[in-house]
Amino acid sequence: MARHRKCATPVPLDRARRRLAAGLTAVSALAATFLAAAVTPAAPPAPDRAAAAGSDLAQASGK
Amino acid sequence: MTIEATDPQLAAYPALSAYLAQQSQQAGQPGQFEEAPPTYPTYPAHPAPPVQPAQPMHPVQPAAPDPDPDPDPVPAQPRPERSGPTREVFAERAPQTAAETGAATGAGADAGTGAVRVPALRIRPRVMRRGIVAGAGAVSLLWGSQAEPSARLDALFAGAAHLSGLLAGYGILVMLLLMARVPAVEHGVGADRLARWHSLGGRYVLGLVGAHGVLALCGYAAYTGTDVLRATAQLLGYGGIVAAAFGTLALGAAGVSSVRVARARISQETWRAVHFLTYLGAALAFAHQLVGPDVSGSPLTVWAWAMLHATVAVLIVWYRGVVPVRQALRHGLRVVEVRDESPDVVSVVMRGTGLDALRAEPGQFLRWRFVQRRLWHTSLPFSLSAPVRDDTVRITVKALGVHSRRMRRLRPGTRVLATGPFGAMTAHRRTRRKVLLLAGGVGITPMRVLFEALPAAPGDLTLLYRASNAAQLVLRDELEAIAVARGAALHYLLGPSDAAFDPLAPQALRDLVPELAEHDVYLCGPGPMAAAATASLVKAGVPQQHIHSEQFSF
Repeated sequence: MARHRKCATPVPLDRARRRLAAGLTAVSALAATFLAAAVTPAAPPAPDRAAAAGSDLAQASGK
Repeated sequence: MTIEATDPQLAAYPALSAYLAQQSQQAGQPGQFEEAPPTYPTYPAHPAPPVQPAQPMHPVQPAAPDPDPDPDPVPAQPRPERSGPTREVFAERAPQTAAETGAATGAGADAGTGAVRVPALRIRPRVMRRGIVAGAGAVSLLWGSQAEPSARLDALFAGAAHLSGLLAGYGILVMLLLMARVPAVEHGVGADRLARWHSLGGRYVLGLVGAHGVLALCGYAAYTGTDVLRATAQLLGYGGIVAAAFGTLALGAAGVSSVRVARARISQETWRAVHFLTYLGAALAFAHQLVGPDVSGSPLTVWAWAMLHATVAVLIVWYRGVVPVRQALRHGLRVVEVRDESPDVVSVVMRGTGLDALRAEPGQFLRWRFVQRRLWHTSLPFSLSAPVRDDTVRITVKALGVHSRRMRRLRPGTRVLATGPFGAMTAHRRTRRKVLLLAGGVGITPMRVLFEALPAAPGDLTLLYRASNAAQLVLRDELEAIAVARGAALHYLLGPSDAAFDPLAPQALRDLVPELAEHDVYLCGPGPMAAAATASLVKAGVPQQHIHSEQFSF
């Protein structure tokens, strides 16, 4: 006897949109959190900021 | 319906306006369509009924098809102008045909099922523009709130470098977002306007990127007291700066390839491949932005900046990667027939499954990829030339380029990958009761669908179809059948574009279309024709905001 799968009830479009928006936002937030934590390259000093302007070059190079 | 010559003195051209106006009065009373929705010839399976033979005509006279003395079903309701919500205006109108009910506005009921459709999300151009400017303002504010005024040369250079760098980073994101094919943006702003914004904005962004690099270099040189070469060497000791430099090169390559001279010399595929480098450029430039003094000041700003990038990246992956693949797998489109419409125009009929899910609206286009030798590698944007019906779609293509010429050799059974729909030249832009559709050449294809599907009482809809001669007219049987069934006016404007008489001149348009200034105008045609027609319409009194067009020859 053939097995029949239960027909999936289509999700209303507005609910599907909300789900999609929530899903994409969640993935973006996760990716952003990962990037913010993982990407920290060394940076040259910023001469327009007091911390860099007040320090000598050896300290400012940060390497 | 008339066939107009480009020389008004040539009375030999038959004019059918009076005939059709009379037909409309007899057959097109309001409410008639509600009882028996007409079907129009579209696909080979439904051959076109013979068009009523034209009776002997009087010399050409401008058509005045306004047979209905009170054609507005809801005259007492105030109609909001463009600034107000337009969908509601037409929701109040009694639907006249099944096609009008749902397909025209993207909101309403699915024909045949009665299921209520959810309106399509659309971001208006004005809202989008204001949002982009507001974002730039917020980025500038982020810089301004942390800037420390100083008269030192190195601080001045560095301050300007940081502002230009922040705006460049933001601008890159905006450029990518414009091309992410997000439906709400595509359907609200329109693909052609997005492309123009992208093209213009890209120049500003590249300028900001260049300014940022030069200013940062000068600032660092002044700060360290070295020359520019030594400062460059020192800056390239930072990994993030090296990545950003490569990213700048990638963005520059995309920019150079888009310069008109270069664009004319390289193929579309090459240009597109080079343009993909912008993704790499944006990614490479991202790292050094996070450690800039304006962003790195607080963990929250670091996260927010990363969130902006991640959001754009996710949208691109979803709408340019996942959605097309899913649509290809879901619909299984295949070519059914390739039909000659004129010596250089063919219609391609395709059939698939579940095409209603595309929610394609009249006036929109899709990007088509035909899995056949010498065509599979490119995605071609073509408007639908008939409403989606019975899981069948049709496009009508003029052989203007290498790929469109190859369309004639498509074989039935060829697999088709379609992505979309795109475009904003749909019923949602309408603000007036009367509508003029103005088509030039193969620009008739979206107009053909709008001519059938736009809600309009008899006498409210006019189609002007400009072509160089009668042999260039395509879909003529369908247009004439629709005109008769809907009580709409149809005028063919024939003649070479350099003829002495211009049928699209302001006075000629006013003569052809009574109360022209009271019309919404949908316009689609070759670039020069569309520009000339727009200028004429404005001179004839049509407000610019009531002229809706999409062009792709930018």
